[in-house]
Amino acid sequence: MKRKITGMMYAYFHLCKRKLWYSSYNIDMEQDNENVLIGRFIDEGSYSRKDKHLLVDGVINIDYIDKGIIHEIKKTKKMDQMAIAQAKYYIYYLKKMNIDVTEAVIDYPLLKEKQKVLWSDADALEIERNLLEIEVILGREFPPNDYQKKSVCRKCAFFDICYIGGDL
Amino acid sequence: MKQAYYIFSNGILKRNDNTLQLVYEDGQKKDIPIERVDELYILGETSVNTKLLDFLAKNNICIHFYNYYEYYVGSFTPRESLVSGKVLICQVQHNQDHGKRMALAKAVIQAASYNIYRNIRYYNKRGKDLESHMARIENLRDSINYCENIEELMGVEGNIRKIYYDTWETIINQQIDFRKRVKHPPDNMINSLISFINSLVYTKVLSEIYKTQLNPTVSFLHEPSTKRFSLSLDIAEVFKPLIADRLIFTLLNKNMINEKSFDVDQYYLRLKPQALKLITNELDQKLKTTIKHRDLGRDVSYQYLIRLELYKLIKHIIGEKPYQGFKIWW
Repeated sequence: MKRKITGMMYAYFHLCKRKLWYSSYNIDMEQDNENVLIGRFIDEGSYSRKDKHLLVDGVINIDYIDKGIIHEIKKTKKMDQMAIAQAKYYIYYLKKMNIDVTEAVIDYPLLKEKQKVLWSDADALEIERNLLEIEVILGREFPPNDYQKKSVCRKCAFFDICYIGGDL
Repeated sequence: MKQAYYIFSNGILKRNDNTLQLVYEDGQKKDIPIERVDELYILGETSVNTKLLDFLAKNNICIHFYNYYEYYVGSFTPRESLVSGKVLICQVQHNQDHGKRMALAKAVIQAASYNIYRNIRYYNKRGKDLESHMARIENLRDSINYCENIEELMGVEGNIRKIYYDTWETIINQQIDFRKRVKHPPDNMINSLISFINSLVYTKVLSEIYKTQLNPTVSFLHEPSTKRFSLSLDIAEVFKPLIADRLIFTLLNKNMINEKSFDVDQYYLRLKPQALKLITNELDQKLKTTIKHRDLGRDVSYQYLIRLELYKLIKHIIGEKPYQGFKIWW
């Protein structure tokens, strides 16, 4: 059976393969991470007049759709490549369901900024290639060993489980 | 910052809107903001209702109950919110496979006995002659690797513990007749303290287990049993020397606890409420102590070391990285 790849999983693939593996097996570290809590508050507190959290197909959860444009809410721009990829995946997913969307916007309410994401047909190929790779990662018995060792690790909710045990 | 709350006085603990409220017998009220509560310990005679339990469950707070004799009665733990089928299956496999189970059980005893050794070494350096005990424990530690089953391992552990307890009369400056560990009921001050403080450590570990995906009933060293959360017992083994035993040495050697701290009746030595407050206070101070963690490169508290131990265990059972029990490194 093919797995359902959620928007979060697709985003994690672009951020960190270890995080993708852990979270897909529900080894979830986010319950008392401060940054996660802040993110949740931003999500709950912004654009409250919109119809938010559209769960499509039980797989992807779109923050909100306004005038045919997909919106994704983020706290900072630090990981904008991930946000762009995630938004494109939503477009891809809807297209697969014969819903024609070609544009997405990433909202940064704290920065009072918006970032446009445009779709091109080359994106579909890229996404399909990524989905195959995600399947491979999730099929692994344990998380891949390529640590990111990036500055983002420090703030990651999975940092402790990822780095405990030493010799990295 | 979240913290543990200990309730000693008699009264009612209830939900009042979106906060916790303690109503004392004389009608006085005390509010406890729910956001600040990590876990609750009930050591007095306290009434609770389902509305409260529902409120605690929603906020993921464990509540632990102790009886009149400070004996651990049980816990209310919220419905599991962190479940991972993968982790549970791996955990059970490690219990069922003899080789896998032994590897983990040995790692626990290796770490626990090393921490015991460190406690003795500490006092040996401070003028208490414990060289021969240290040597005997080192010998026994060498034999851990050769144990072929849990019974043998438990035997070695028992012998190590016996030598360890033999040092206590030397380590502790108060004159207390402490020949051996007696549990049901404890027969002297030291045994009472060990029973009470160990049960606190056990519940602390349990609370931490609930913050991970591990199942508290599936253990490796202790037999998984229906009565107890035996994984707590396994992990508590590793931390008792650092947290419980050192606390007992401090309490007795600084004369913070002495005969006057107990109600001495015919069968029991019951700690007085004042002493209970002091002990839980000191325990919390200890758990808040931080050290720089070598793997994470930041300060972590003793309490958080317990959680990290559980993360290491998860990594072991899913096959990512072999578990090495926590050993005092400073």
